[in-house]
Amino acid sequence: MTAVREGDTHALGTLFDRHHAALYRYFYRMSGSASASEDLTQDVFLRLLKKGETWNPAMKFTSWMYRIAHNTFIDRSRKLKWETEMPAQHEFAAPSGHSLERDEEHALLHKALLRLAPDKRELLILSRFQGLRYEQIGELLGIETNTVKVRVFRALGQLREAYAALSRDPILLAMEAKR
Amino acid sequence: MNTECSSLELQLADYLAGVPSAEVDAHLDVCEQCRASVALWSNMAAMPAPVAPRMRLQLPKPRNYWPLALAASALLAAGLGFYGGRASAPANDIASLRKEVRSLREVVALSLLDQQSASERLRGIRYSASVDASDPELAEALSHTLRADPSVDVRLAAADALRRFPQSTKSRESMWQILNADDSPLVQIAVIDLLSEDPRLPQLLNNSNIHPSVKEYVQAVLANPQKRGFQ
Ligand SMILES: [Zn+2]
Repeated sequence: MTAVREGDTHALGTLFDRHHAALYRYFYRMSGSASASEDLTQDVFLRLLKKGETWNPAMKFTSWMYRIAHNTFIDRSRKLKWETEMPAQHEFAAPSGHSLERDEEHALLHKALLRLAPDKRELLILSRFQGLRYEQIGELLGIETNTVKVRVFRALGQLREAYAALSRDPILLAMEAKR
Repeated sequence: MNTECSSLELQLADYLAGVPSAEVDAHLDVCEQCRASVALWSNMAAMPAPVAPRMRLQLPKPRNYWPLALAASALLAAGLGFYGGRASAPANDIASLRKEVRSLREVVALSLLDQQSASERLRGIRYSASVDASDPELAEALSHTLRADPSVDVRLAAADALRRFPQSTKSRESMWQILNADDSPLVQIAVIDLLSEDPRLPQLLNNSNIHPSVKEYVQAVLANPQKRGFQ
């Protein structure tokens, strides 16, 4: 009988080894919080254990996994309002040949992303960082592919505006200080 | 965003995904906003990825183990007749709990079958051995692999794994289609083994897709139905 239990944990372990890092990155970019991301990642695997039977194999496995991740994030957001409470921490891989200027630019971009509404942010994260195709995003969110395309491009426009506003901030501050 | 931008949104999104478009190029020449958006998109690719800490799968005990533990103990108890007259209610629970356990293994096997690399798909097929053979989804996935996988090794492994699944009329039809389409003699032989009880086997001797050496094999099987596989 322990074979049942061990076999099952083993099965989940296989999925965990394969996907936990990508899920962690997804949650980190969604929440900006390292500790929350670890928790949320673990949560997804518990849900996979409980909801294995709800997967329709006509759907790509990763689409289904991100659908669970999406729901996990939404459920947790209802309980915690970390978008305002949790500051972005910079636990990122050092890029090759990085300059201070580049680092600042990326930190600003990260902040701009966190300023977007979660659904807009998610579209950009899934399409740009998690490597999902528009079809897959539509599949996991239950919307048309063309709707995904339009929304991604509009979200990118909003990110550009948020980024521009943040880039202007230090100048505005400096001007204020001179008065 | 002006009207030209809005009318090009779909193409612009495809452009971000790497689909070239002369129309978009022309628009970017004149639209500063869209040009800035596209530049930002490229810039995002250079953003460093968050580093996942070392993590291990945590299944908090005993709370999250309880469905499995319960299934295990309930099955044991039911097997020993502990439940006596009350056996029917727990039996339903047990059935659904067993289904969850099976489903997760199925998820793993199927997700591995969906991988890019042939060695991963082979792993998925090996993994399928731990899944209940009555599982129609898995039989369907293996049969799809046998039909469509580009690697001969993977197709052979899928044929081998399918041996333990009961054959439906539908799956037999699908096997016949494979014999008409697959040009690997090894795969043809593996499929013929799966169909060895089929009364239509002699027809293969006139099938132009069947390799001549495979026809010899078919004749041997017809002459002696017990003798199968390479011997
Ligand atoms: Zn434009």
